Amino acid sequence: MKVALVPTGRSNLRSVEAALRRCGASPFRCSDPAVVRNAELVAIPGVGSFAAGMSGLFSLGLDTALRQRALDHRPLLGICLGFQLFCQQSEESPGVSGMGIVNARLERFTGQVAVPQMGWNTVSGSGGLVADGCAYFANSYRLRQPPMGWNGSTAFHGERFVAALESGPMLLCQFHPELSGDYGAELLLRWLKEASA
Amino acid sequence: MSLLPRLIPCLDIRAGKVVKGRRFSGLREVGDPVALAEGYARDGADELVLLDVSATEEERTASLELLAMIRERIAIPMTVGGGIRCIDDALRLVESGADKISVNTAAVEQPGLLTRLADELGTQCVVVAIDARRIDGTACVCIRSGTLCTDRPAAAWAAEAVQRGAGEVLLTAWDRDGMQGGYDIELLREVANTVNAPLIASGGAAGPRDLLAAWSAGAQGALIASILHDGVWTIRKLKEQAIREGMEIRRCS
Repeated sequence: MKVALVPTGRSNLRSVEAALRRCGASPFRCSDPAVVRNAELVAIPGVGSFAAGMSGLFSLGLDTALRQRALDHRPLLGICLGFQLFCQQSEESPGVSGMGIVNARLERFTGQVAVPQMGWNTVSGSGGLVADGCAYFANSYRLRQPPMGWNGSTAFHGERFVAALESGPMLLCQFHPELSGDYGAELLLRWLKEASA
Repeated sequence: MSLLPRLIPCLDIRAGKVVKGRRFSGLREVGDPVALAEGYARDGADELVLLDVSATEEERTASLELLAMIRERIAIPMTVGGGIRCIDDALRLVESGADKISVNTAAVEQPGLLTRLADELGTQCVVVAIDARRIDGTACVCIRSGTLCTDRPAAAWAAEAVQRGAGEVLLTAWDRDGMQGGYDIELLREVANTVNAPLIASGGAAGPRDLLAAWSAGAQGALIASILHDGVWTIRKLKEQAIREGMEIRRCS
């Protein structure tokens, strides 16, 4: 199974590539909108700021390609910032529009907790692809609850927040499945299976 | 329930081998980095820290290849440090598979570097490593592998580093490194009360009791090296013991 990896700024593509390879998939880096639009499987990793991520996608015309894919319900895996960019907006970058597929705005964690959230947290799974277990997070912004139309998984960091969203072959993870040990590897396998079915 | 405390093996790497000493000197070889990293990850490590303690450029280039090999095999986060002087050094490590990069001496000598790294990579990718040495009771920052002591209190530098862009603090008590006499709990408590970013305790772990003490002092992570390399403890046994003591941690399958 070939997976097109969309670069968003300075993301650590190597970890995602290695994880997909361990699952038997063949990742390849791709920033050609036409290929991203039509590829069988697409993954969008990402670290860095919301604004930098969006401007990276926009400058290559990838935002339109990814948006179309999502509207068509084609297989998609978004990781961390790669999830957040599908939302409408983020408190991190006021005035910057995201791809708007997920009808919600990201806000910074509130309360007496360490920010960024960095480490392993307990996920309450969706009953779909995402199981109960421990996943690795590295984020400062989060959605408070799953928006309508998405099957949500949650975790708790001073408050309940969205750990992942699913809709058919589209899986958006706030955590890093590629860094979440066996738990993450099993999730990637389930997504690959679901997405290539 | 929130973030689970992390148990983090640290591999000091020189000339392609894992080494370990006491108070940063008298380094002895303890094994192959790839095999140790893989073994620790399989045994339930929550994260790995790789520190390149190489002396030469050739060794550094080889370390990048080594990093890529380890990345291919393990599915937990890796923080990589040692000799990072500029953005390009950091980017090379990220490209080779580092999830976080750790800066020590260069951050003290050019504090603007932390901000530039955070702008480029995001704060979640930037770790400030602080080596603290007690001088007349005060924990002061020391740099260049512990050979040069400054008069800056470690807690004040930790706060400044976080403000400048570090997303995590890796705090090593130089006096306790490799001594297996427990972490510097007083120092951990002081720094944990000063900064709001995640804190990793390092230097002195002897057994489960020390991990529990570090976690209850406010550290989210506990670094271990000597006791693992020497086979005194395994990660699985440390975790089992911590669970028996009532800690909630990530269980290994």
